[in-house]
Amino acid sequence: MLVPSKLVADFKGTASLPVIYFKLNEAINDPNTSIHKISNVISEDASLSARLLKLVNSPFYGFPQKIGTISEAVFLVGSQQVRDVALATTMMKTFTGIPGDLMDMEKFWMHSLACGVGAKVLAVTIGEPEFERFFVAGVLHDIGRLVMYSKASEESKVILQRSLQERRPMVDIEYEEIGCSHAEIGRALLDAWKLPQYYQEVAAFHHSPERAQQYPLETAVVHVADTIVHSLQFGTSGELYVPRMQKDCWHKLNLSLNQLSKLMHVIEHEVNLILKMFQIQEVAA
Amino acid sequence: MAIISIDRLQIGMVLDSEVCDRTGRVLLKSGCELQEWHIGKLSSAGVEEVDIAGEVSSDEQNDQKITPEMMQQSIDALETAFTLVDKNWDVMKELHRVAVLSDVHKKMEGDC
Repeated sequence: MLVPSKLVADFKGTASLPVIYFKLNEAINDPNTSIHKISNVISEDASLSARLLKLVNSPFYGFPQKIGTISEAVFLVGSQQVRDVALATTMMKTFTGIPGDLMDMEKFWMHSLACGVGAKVLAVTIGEPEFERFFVAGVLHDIGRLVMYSKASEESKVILQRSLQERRPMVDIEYEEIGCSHAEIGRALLDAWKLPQYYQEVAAFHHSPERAQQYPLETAVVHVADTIVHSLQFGTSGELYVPRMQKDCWHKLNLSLNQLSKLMHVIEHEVNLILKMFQIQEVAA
Repeated sequence: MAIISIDRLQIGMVLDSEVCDRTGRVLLKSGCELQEWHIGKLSSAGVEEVDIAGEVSSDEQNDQKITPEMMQQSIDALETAFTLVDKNWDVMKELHRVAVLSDVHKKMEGDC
């Protein structure tokens, strides 16, 4: 039986939050901060600056005018939102050394980004103004799997194999093989990284959204987005099967069937744009 | 004129009537020739359908190119993925339908 916090403690030595996140956090929390100071921090990282500018000029935001500078981007998007988006978009470089026979990292990030975009599109549709945090929560929801693959690789092989043979979801077999799930490991990692509670809760309960106490809407949105992007076959975090969507979650979003098919087309379109932006190749199902 | 969903909008299409967000604020005026950022703006505002001037080829016309064999191939390809879902629930039926069509379109694009 493995304990999530122990796995995470072992793992923390090999993967830490991108430095830019701490620098941005510091700049945001500084009482004398300004858009200029925050922009300077971002500008120090050329690849992040380029990615941020691409993102704010894409349909992801849909601003009516071209945004040419980082300070305009920070002004329009908001400094905390920029910090969160920077986190999600630099996360990919954080995880190295995951055994290739266990997980194709390109497919993993494709699934993560797609779930983020799906959550963002759903959040916009139901009228949630702060859609960035839905995006980031979606990107981070399966992060515990990477810790699991890295720190319990032999057990992970058995979990993947049993899931295929027994036709059961990985999450159920995770409990049997290691005594906890990737969802709990994800929460422990985000907690160790001191990321906000709503990211922790979404990661912890995206397979059991009825247990989300503080952020049931965020959790429901990511749960539904996860099911949608699994159906559309955008990458994978290892799971072979489309998750069972909980009816209560779907009803919570108050969407019609007619809206669902349109939303799926919008999600597909936006995911393809984001994947192109992040230079991740779409792999045909 | 035709009312079409925003996922089918293309650059250069012209709006036949103004588009408002859910609060009634006008996002784009009638006669606007769509650019990429317009489409992004509509998507970000949660707009689902707009009124387009002129003839627009329908989904049905595009879908006529899909043969039963192609559909079956995609249904088979997705069979494992959809093993555990509640197939009697309308929402999952719709998810499956759109996912199968998406798979067919991906394969058609791959063949081009």
